[in-house]
Amino acid sequence: MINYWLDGLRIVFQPFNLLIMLIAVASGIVVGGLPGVTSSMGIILLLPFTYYMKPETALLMLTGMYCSSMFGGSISAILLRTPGTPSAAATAIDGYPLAQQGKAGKAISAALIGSFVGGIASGVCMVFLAPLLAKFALKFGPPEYFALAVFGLTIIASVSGKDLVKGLIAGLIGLLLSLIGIDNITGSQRLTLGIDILANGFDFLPVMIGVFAVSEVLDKLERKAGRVQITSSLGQLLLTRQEMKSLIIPIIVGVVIGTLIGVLPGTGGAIATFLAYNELKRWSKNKEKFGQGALEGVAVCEATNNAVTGGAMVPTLAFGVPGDAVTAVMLGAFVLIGVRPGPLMFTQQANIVYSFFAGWFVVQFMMLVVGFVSIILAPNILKIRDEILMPIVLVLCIIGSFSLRNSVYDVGVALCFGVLGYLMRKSGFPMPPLVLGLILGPMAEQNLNRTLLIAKNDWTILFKRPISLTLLLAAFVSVTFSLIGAYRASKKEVTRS
Amino acid sequence: MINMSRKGDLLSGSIVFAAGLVFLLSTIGMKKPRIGLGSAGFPRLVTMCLIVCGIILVLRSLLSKKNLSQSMGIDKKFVLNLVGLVVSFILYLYFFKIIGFLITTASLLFFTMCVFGYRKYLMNAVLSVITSTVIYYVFTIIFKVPLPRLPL
Repeated sequence: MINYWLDGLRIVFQPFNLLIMLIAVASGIVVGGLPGVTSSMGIILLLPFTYYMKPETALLMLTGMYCSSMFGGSISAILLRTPGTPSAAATAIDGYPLAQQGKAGKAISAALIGSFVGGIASGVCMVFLAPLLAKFALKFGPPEYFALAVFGLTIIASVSGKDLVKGLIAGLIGLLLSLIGIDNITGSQRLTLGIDILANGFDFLPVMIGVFAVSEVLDKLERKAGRVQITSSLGQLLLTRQEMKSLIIPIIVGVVIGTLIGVLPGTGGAIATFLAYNELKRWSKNKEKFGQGALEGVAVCEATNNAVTGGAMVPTLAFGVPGDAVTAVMLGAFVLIGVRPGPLMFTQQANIVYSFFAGWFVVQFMMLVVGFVSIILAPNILKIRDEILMPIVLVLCIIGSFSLRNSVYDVGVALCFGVLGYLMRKSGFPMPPLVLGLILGPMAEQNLNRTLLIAKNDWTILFKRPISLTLLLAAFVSVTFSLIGAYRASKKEVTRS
Repeated sequence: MINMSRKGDLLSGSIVFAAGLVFLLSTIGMKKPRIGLGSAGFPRLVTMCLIVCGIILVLRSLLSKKNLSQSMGIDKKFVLNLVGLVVSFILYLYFFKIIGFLITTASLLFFTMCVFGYRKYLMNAVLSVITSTVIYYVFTIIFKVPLPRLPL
């Protein structure tokens, strides 16, 4: 074990890898800070650069982008009241009033410290929990993997937002897309509707580039909003000892809630930050300060936000089942660079796993340093015009999809899914379920087929094995809770209207 | 701004239903093996669920109390820009391999910046050429991605 860690640290501290991580951290802060450019899009935009890197280096770069973009989201939330990422939405509640009081510098500093501690704590959780779960996952056979895929698909219910039916449809479209092309089981073509080119199927990456990045560009085209006035005065950057002391409890609350929620598949940062914020407010002695510009409010949101990152990586690494939409994109990126998350990764690709673990902690320290510099530069970063930025994002999307197989077909897929994704979003269909369907579709189908082959078409095998039964029960409970939640929400809406 | 509410749900539900039906019909003729799922098993399950969800969406929009004939507020300029961008995507894909990455990408960049409202045309042209050239050389020389070139 210690040898693995030493090897991991040796890889991380190679000068080239450090440089790549530094660039990724700085880019992540910029990406997170730009409203409308999400962490998922940031990771997607980095993919073409990873194709020709060693897997370890590529993974370190993606880690830098993933963690730092979470903090970056707080910058625009504080300065513009426009969260750069969905999980930074709660940060704006106290961050923006602080900026208006001339304390933007202090607010971003509190966000940075919260993010740093959250990232470190969730990293510790990931390092201990992921290998444990992976060992447990070694006991899994096809029935268990099928049940796990079903459980993963029930996440669709929780990431569907307000409309469960539309979430289900998006998930089913993802599943359907994963089935088009050559059937892995029999080797025959299916669902191609007589169009030969569809025999290539839809690769995960161009579809993701389309639905997350290209559709965002089209969305920006619609929302060409007027430029928001950025708070010109940052005020003081450094926190006083008293202020630092006041952040301890909020950060602890954020770390605990963020890590716990992050481990649960399908929850994500946005839910966790609002939950942590509400809990802190509920137990705080100074409730009235919240919403008016409380540093504690900013710190708890950002600690939670980054605590979710490590937690969400636990099921991703141990089972190959993503924790939320951003880790779904990370999972796709892992597969693309030749790393297959799952229990065997911890034994067969130990050097990559431990360099990722070691890199995770180094990235947090880099984020702390680069983050402080970015506070000074932040107002200038936010002045980058959409008219110039979005077309460049579009070209990077094209390169990213072309580089996958040097094929124009993939570019076409990305652009088509960009338009489709945009229309789906406009019609209220959430995008994360589509990605989950696309990832979990092949896993569910192949393992169900293997299960039926082993059991000679006896479906009851799924309920006779304890792990698969437990997972199916968990899936049932998860769906039931989501349905109850959706019913209550619709009832509330009816009462309100 | 496009406001897809009840009318939008009716339309999207119908499209989902039709798509599910088309893909379900395309599985007819696929043989079921003696044991195991076969090629058609999983697609049939998924398409049937899609059809059911499509029907639910259509019924929900029909039974909704909101006025169905409410107009969809559409910003004509935006729709024109969107259509222009989609046409430029199609042209881009067609010419990508024929005249190479540099010319097609610079043209796409120029057009997209115009669509986004960047009106400094000279600056736009300079930025488009520089950006596509830098991207071209970074990816072909450093990352060895064989981007298409204009055949001489």
